[in-house]
Amino acid sequence: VDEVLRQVAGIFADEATEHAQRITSALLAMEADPSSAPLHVEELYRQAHSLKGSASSLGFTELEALAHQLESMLLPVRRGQKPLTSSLVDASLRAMDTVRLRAEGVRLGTSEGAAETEAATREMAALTEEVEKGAEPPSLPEPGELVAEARRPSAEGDAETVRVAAAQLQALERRLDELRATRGRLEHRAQTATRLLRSAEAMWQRSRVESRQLAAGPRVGGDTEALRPDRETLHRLVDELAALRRDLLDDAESSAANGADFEENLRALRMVPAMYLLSPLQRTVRDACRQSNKDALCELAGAEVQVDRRLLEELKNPLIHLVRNAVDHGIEAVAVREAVGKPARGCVHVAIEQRGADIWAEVHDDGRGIDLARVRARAVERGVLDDRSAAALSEGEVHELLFHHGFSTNVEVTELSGRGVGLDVVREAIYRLHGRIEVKSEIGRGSTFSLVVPLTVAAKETMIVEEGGRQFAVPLSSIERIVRAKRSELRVMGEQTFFQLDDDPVAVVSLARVLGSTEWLDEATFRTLAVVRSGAARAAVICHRLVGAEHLILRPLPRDLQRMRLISAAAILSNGQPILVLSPRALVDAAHAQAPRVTNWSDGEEMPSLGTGTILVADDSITMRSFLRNILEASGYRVRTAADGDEALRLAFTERFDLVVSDVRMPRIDGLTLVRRIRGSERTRDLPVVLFSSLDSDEDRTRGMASGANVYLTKGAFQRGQLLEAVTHLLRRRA
Amino acid sequence: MKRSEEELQAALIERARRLAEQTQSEQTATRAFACVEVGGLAIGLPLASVVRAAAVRQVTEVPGAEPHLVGIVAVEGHLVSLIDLGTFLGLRPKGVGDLTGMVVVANGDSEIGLGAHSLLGICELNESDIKPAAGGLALIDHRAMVRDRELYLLDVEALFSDTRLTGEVR
Repeated sequence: VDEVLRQVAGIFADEATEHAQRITSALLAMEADPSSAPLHVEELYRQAHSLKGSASSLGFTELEALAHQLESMLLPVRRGQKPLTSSLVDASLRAMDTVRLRAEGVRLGTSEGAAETEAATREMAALTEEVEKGAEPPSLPEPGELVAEARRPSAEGDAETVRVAAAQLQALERRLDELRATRGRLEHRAQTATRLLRSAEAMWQRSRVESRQLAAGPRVGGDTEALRPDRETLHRLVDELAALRRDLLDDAESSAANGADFEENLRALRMVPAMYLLSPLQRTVRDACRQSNKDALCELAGAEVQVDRRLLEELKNPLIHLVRNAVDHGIEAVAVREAVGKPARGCVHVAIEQRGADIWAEVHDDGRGIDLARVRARAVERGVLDDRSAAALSEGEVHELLFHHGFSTNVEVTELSGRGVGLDVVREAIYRLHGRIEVKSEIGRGSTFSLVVPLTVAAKETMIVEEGGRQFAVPLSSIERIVRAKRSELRVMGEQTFFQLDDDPVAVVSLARVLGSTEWLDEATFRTLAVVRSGAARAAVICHRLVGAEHLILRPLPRDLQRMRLISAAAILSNGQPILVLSPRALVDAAHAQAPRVTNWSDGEEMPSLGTGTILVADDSITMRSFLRNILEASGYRVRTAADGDEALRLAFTERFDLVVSDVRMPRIDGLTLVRRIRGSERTRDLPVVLFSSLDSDEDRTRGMASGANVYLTKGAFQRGQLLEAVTHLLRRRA
Repeated sequence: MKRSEEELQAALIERARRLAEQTQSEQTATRAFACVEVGGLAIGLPLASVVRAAAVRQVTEVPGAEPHLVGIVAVEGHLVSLIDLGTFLGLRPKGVGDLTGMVVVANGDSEIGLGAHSLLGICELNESDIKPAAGGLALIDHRAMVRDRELYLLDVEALFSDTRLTGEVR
C-alpha cells in the first residue's frame, strides 16, 4: 500500500495544490466583487469537495477535515445568509496556504504541514461557531448534491486533459533529437548510395562500350561471351544500388515528416494556459495591500493564452516582483488617492497576450507613476552618477537605472521593498529568456512594465554563422536583414564604428571581437553584416561567413554555463555536433558597449595600446564590475570578476592572475583585508593590486597603501586613462 | 560414506545460504568506483554518481570559457559541460587532444562530463581500505591502494559546489 501511495503522492500533491489555487482565486474574486459570490462560491465548493474526496481516499484525514471545515464555515455565505467577511477570507486563505504546505509534505513522504493543517482546521471551526451564533444553524449539505456538482466539468476542464511530468516531456525531446540524428544519417547514407550508384553506372557503361569494341574489332584472344557474366553482375549491382538509394531517400523523407509531426505535437504538449501563472498574483496583490495598508484590486487578462511551460516557470518570479512593486511603489494610500480625486481602491492590471512570436506580460498600476527627478536624485545620492550625467539621462535611461542592482527609490526598507533587490533579478530572468523589458509611466496616472519574451524557448529558426572556424547559431527572428557592405561604408567615429542603414547609423561590432578571438583582417572589399535587433536597439554584426538557415530544437545550457550572457542556449545539429546559440541582446549590447553612456570619462583621452594578462576585478556593485570589465576588456585584458572580497581571495588563491583591481568596502572581506591576505601568501605576495574606492580622504588613501596596495584610485576623480595607465605600468614592471 | 539425497540437498542449501550471506556482507562493506587516469594519477569516481562513460568526440568549444572547460558535448540527447579533470584538479595539463575518454557524473539534476586521459575500469574497494587523503589535491577527500597503485577518490558533491562551476563565468 505504501508503494502505491508513494506512486500517487506526486499526483495528489499537484491536484491538492491546484484545488487550493482555484479556491484562492474564487475567494479573491468574491471578495473583490461581492455580487459575483453566487457564481464563485459554487466553484469553491466544487474544489473543496474534490479535495475532500481525494484526501479521504488516500487517507490524508487532516486534509479531508480541513476541506470539510471550509465547506461548513462558508455554508452561510453560500446560502446567502451571511456576507463574506474579511476574517472569513483570511482564515480560508491561511487554510489554503497550509494545503499547499501539506501537499509538499505528501510529495516528499513526510508529515510536513500536517500540524499546520490541523491548526487551520481548528481556527476555521472556531470561526464557524462565531458565524453560527448570529445565524440560522447551518445544516450540512446533501452529499449527493455536492458530488453531482463536483463531477460537473469546470469551464477550464472542458477538454479532456492528462497530467504530463516535465521529465517525461524532456525525455521525449531527447528522443526527438535522436530522431533528427537518425534522419541526418539516413540522408548521408542516401548520398553515399547515390555516389556508389553513379560509379557503378559509369563502370557498366564502360564495360558495354568495351564489349562493343571487342565485338567489332579483330579477334585477338578477346571473347565477348566470356565477359557477359561480369556485365550481368554489374547490371544487377546497379539495379540493387538504385533500389537501395530509392529506399534510403524514402526512409529519410518519411523520417523527416514524422519528425516534424512529432515536433509539432511536442510543442503543443509544452503549452499550458497562462491561468496557472496569473491566478496566484491576485493573492500576491491582496497580501501586498495588507502589508502596506493599501487597497487595490488585481485584474487579470489573458488567462486562456497558451504559454510554454518552461516560460511559465521562468515568468512566475519576475511577475510576483513586479506586482509587489506595483502595490508598494505605484499604488498610493487610500487617503492620498481620494485627495487627488482617484477611486479609493487602486487597480493592478496583469495581462498576458501573444503578439506575433512573442508573449507580452504586462503589469499596469493606476498609481503615482515614476518620478524621474526622484530617480535621478537617488542615483546621484548613491554615487551611481554625477549631477551632470544624471541630468543628461533620457526618460528611458532613467527607467533603466531602476533595474540596477541595489537601486531603490524607497528610502525606508519595508516588508515589500526598499532593499534595492528585485528589479535587477527581474531583468536577469528576462534576459535569460532572450526577452526584454519596456517601461512606460506617467506621473499621477501610473506605470506599465512589459516583459516581452519569445513565445517558446524550445524550437527556433536560426542562421548559422561561422567565425574563426567555429559555427554559431543566431535566432533568425532577431536578424532584421543581411547586408553586404563596402569597407568604405563603415565609418569610424571615436571608438565606435557605424554603418548607415536606412538613414540611421547602426553600431557595428565584429563577431570575432565579441568572441574574444583574433579579428579577421583581410583586404576584402565587402563585409557581411547581420543586422541584429533586440528590443528597440539594433547592431550590425560582421561575420566571416553565413552558412545558412537551420531549424534547431534549443536545449538549456548546462548549469555551469547559464551565467554566460553571450550564449543563450545550445542545440544539437543533425550530425550530433552541439552548437551554441548567441544571444541577440548580448550582441547588441557588445556593439553599444564600445561607447558606454553612464560614465564621467573625458572624450579626448587616448587609449593605451592593447594589453595582455588576466585581471581579477572585485566589487560588490554589479554596475562597477561591468564598468571595469568593459574598460579592461576593451583594452585587451582577460577579466574575471568577484562579488566580494571572500570570492576574490578564493579566486586569487586558486587561479592565476596578473593583477587585481578591488573596491575597498565589500561584504565578508573588505578590500584592505584582501590586500593583506594576498601579501601574506607566498603564492600571491607579488600580485599587483589597485584599490579603487569611493573613500577619498588622505587617511583612506594612506590606509589603503599601508595595507600593501600598489596604487590607490578614487572613484570620484576617476579617469579611464588613469586606471589603464596604472594597470599597464604595474604589469610592465611585473613582467 | 555416501550421503543420502536429503542430506545432499540440505548441504547444498546450507552452502547456498552461506554464499549468499558472504555476498551480502561483501556488498555492504564495499564501494564501487569508476577509475580514470589524469596527469599520471589514478582518480576514482563513486560509481553511484556515474551516469555513463564514453569516448570524447564532437566537443564544441565555448568562447571566453575558463581553461578547465573543454566545451560542451551531447550525451543521449542533452548537453553537458566537459571539463578537463586534470586542469580542474590543478594537475599539469597535457592538452585537450590527450583527453580520450569522459565520465559523466551527476549530482541531483546536474550533470557534468569529466575528461580523462584514459578510462581504467571499475573497482570495488573495502570500506576499511579507504583512508583519508592527506591534503594536497583539492576535491580529493580519500585514497586507497589498488594493485600497488594509489587511487585518489574524488568528492563529487564538493565538485558540484566548486565556485568555478557555480560562480560567475563571464
